[in-house]
Amino acid sequence: MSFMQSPQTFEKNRDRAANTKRVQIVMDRFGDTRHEFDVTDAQAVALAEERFRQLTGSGFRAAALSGDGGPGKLLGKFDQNVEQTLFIPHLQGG
Amino acid sequence: MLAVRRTLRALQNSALGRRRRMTPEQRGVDLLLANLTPQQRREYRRDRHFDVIGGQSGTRYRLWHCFQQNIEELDAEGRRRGLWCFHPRQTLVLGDVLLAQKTALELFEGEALRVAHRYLNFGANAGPTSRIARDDFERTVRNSWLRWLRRTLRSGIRAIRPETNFYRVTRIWFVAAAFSCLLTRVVYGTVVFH
Repeated sequence: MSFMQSPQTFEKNRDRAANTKRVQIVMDRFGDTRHEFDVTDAQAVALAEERFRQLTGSGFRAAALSGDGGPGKLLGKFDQNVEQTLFIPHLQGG
Repeated sequence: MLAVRRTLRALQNSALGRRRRMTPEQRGVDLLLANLTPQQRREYRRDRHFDVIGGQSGTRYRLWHCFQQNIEELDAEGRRRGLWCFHPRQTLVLGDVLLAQKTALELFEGEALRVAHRYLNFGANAGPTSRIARDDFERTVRNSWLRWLRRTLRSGIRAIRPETNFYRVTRIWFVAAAFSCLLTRVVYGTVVFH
């Protein structure tokens, strides 16, 4: 049993791994496209920031999802601490 | 540890595969349902609409599962004051449109209503009377309860796991199995051969 981690270490590692995962959800005609990245990976964070800048620059609104269905938060600039960012295309009257 | 990692990766891949196999409409509805409060979700599944409170004015809006003229502005008594219609400029599936409208009303209501068109009544084939929307609802939302059940079970198991202490339970189970094996051997040997 020596190859196994202790339950505490296992849970700690799993929680740490889960807490560093972030996702950017872009609405499109396929439903949505998800871009996942890890905050511990500097290159992935830089890519995510670049994607954020490109999308908001082309008219998308970025919102941080609350996760419980409540009102989220409107994002003006990239925040790597936000777990789920939703990108909404530009709105028009119908 | 390798076996555990492989199992986790396989589970993750199967979940991703399942998501890829879903139609865009189902994915849109899935995303919408994941971002509604439990009350809104209940309302939506039951009545084909859910209520949203405007982030700036505090006005109540009713969002119908429909492609056009689907936002009803309600007064304090729940009566219709008027209808609004706005949607994302890109072509999106209906679940995404509803989520975009909900988010817009909650986070940037003024801006959304500035671009929206206002109507007094539902059109001939809009809002709750739209047959296309009703069929779409039956196809995408009503059939989503199985997917919801699966997701709930999965998150339930995930929530319980740390408390049940999986490794300790496995260790106990191994010891118990070895002990029962030994006991069976002893009893069998004692009773049958002696």
